[in-house]
Amino acid sequence: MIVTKEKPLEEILGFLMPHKRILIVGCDGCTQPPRGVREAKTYAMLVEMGGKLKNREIQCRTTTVAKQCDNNLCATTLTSQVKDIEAILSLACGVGVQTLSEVFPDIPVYPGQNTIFIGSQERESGTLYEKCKACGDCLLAETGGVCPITRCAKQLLNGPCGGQAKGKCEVGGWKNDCAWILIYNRLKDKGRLSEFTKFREQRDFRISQSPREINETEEKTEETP
Amino acid sequence: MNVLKNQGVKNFILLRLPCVGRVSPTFFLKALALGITRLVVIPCEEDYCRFKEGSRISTRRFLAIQNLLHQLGFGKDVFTIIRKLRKVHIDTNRCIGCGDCAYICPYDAIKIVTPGVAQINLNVCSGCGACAPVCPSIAIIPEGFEYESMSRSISNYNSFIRKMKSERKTPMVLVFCCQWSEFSALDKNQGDLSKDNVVILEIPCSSRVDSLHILEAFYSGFDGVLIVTCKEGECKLEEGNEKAKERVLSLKKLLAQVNLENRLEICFTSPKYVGEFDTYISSFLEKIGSLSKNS
Repeated sequence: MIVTKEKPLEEILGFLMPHKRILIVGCDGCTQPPRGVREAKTYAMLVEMGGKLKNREIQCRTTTVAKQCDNNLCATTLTSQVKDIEAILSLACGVGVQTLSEVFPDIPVYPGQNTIFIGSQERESGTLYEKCKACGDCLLAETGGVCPITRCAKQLLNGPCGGQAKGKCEVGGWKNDCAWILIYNRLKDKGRLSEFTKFREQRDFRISQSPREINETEEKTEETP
Repeated sequence: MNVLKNQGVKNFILLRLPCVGRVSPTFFLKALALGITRLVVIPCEEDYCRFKEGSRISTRRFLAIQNLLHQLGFGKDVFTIIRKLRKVHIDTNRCIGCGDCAYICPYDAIKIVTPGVAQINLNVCSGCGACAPVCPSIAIIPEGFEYESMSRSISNYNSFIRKMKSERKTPMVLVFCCQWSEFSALDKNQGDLSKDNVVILEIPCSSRVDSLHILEAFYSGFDGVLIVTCKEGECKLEEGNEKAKERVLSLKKLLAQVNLENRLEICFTSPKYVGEFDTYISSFLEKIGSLSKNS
């Protein structure tokens, strides 16, 4: 899922100050921690109370969209709700904010979150870890299920380098695990060390060149004879 | 109250107890002698007693009383026992299948089933409500402690608070009280507490305490919010007090952004620590009083 972190209220109030009637839109999609209607209501109260501290009357309404990255869903869910709205505060990732501002070009849309990474959630410790960089050329089949692009600070394709000691990485102060030591241990356990010793040539970075796009309809028509 | 309606009871006096095991047989006999025509007892289901076999002890006692009353010539329905436990329901239309409730449920009563909605096993649910405040889409409905009804009862104080504040300069405090922890506060003459502008809201377990309700309390004009729960290791359910503590700590971070973090507190006590609750509440009132003067 896409992991986001709340922006400080001070910053949000900074965007919203010129406006009076605000719609706070949650996202029930993949944002993690979930930013649904509960989060929207929480923000509504914080923004209104924070506004009062600055002698500013702000009125918030709240709603949520099944996933804010779908322009059709946003339009059908929100069009009836934005009639007298001066600004939208989106609680989705950066994608949701951009989708909303394309769907409603006349209304300013502000981000309530900083989008951090694509990651996984460890419930027990309540920690979210970055696991994928969306590089477009997945290597996981031959690296024992550990991504060196995301989890190696140097994105090495043939590791480990000399910057590891006792399985920890020099980048970030010896706190993070060395991805290549993890990969080695995994492959050794599975008896697949031949994959570890295989030399991997330089990646084609053109695949990761932003902005990327995929047109599903075109791809399908190309395939038909 | 639907339970009583189903029994055809119209006018009644409600007596709430922490555990039915607390009632002596003479109480029922005295009530009947006073002219009360019918007694309805609503204990927990057999295996759900929060204390030590309270519902089992009372069952034996009830059967003895029923026998006695029968011999004395009373009708059959003069003394009724209805086993009832408030459970939690899930609105699957709102559920987004995030799995937060399934993770937090201390009884493993909730599973996420295909196509990605939560399903609750009511045979295992014990109605603590720990799942409700973690639901991002407010899809969980704890019987008797629904989000909407609690929220309404908090915002209903809005005009009362304004009136009180214009008349007297004392601060208003809302107390979320776990029904198993400081239940003697619930027994207390509410007049005593409202004299100090203290409003008590009961929750099934402190793990039901919802950060939205706390925010709503401040939003409605309460000057302070106190959460009362049992001491560490004494939770009648499953570590509900720990969950409440974590929630309060994370909410304090949010509240710090609107300068309210000092107005929320959690205290750990229960009736066996006599007088502790009174000490907590009076020191909290004092603290809120001095905060209000400064702001």
